[in-house]
Amino acid sequence: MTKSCQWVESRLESYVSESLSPAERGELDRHAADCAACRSELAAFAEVDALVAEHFRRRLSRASRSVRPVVRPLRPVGVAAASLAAVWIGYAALAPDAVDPDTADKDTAVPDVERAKPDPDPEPAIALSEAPLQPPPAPVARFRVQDSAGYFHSLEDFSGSVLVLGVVDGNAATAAAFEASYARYAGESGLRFLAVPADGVDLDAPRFPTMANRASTLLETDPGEFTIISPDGAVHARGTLDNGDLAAAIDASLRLWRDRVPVTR
Amino acid sequence: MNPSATDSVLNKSGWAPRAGDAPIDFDLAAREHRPFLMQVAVATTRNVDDAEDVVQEALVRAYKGLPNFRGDCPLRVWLARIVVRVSINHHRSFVRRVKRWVLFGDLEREDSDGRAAAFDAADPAGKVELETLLDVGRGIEALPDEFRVPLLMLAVDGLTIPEIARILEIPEGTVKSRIFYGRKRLKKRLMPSLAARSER
Repeated sequence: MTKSCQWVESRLESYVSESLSPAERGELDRHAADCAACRSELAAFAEVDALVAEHFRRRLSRASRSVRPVVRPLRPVGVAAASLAAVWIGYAALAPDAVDPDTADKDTAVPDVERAKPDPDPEPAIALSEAPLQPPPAPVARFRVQDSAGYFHSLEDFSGSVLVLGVVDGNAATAAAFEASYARYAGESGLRFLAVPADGVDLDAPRFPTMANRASTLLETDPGEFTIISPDGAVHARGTLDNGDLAAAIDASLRLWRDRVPVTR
Repeated sequence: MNPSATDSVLNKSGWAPRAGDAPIDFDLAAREHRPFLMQVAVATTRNVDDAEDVVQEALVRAYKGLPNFRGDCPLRVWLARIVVRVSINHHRSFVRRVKRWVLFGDLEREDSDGRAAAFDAADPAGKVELETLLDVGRGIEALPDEFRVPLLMLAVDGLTIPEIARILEIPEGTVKSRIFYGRKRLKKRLMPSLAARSER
């Protein structure tokens, strides 16, 4: 193991948890680009994370399948009706939609999770609902990326810094423009670079930080474009990567925020 | 392009109302956050079939405890904290009550060639071998809660490390360390499977 590999190993935890300074991160990226062993180590972490995500997805799928069906009470008859209604209350709480809002008691503050009125016209026998209960589809995130070690990141993780986000398409000039800006400005404190390959684009040993998009809109940044995000998370500038806009936009951002961005050394 | 209020993507939704604000519509909040809380429960329960019960119990407790909600964190974080507590306690009390029972859902069967197989179907995409997934499941279940829970919570849609830290009420650095060491232990355990996969 070379000294550099030891250095990487000692910083692996900080690297995968995004705690390294930009300078050290860049150094580690450069080492990993040339060192198969370290690259393999990082890839193994990414693979473990993918397996954990798959395990979680299966658990979630199984949990959704095991949601109890809605059971409706028999027509109320004395005590038996009361006890069945109690059962129904328990199950109705699992399916808020099963409570008819028109018949719900609007005067009480008790929510559906505790309250459920018996159906005024219940089915004559116990019936299982045919439609399985499914959670509504999750909204598409505006920004969700995954690093090489498998960690997911939201925009919050970049707060406090000016983030230069580039969506690199298959055009070599796009990647070259981003690489040139990274090489020129990487030493600026409070400035972070992140390139995200567009769908289907496979970057070969990039010399700038990259993460994979995970089904987000990337702040509506199209392939071949960049977005500069202010330290408080607002979109500051957008432009096309390969026409020189990027350097001008970074210069303008630095002038605006240089004094306000905390130095992180 | 000038920044605008609508461009801000760091504004949180779901903060508790302060004095003078409208009161929380708990019914609406419960419906809105239920899918998220379900994911948190799936990440924290040992027995996944309990997840729905855990969410239900947590929502009932949250409703009863709503007057104690100080509004110092987003409502969904507060609700998720309750889910985590109910989930852990649910498992402990369940284990106490039925520790000698075997849950059919946890059983594995053996195929004719003696290889272990779960009752669940293999992943529909067919990307990961069943044996590997079983290994992953066993490895995760073998982790103590302090490593297992943050590791799985990272897979919850949209949940970030700062938010996990707030839900578990531990520092961000601790969350990162626990996730890292959880994954390291898992990596060590899965090394043969990973090596076999990379050779293919």
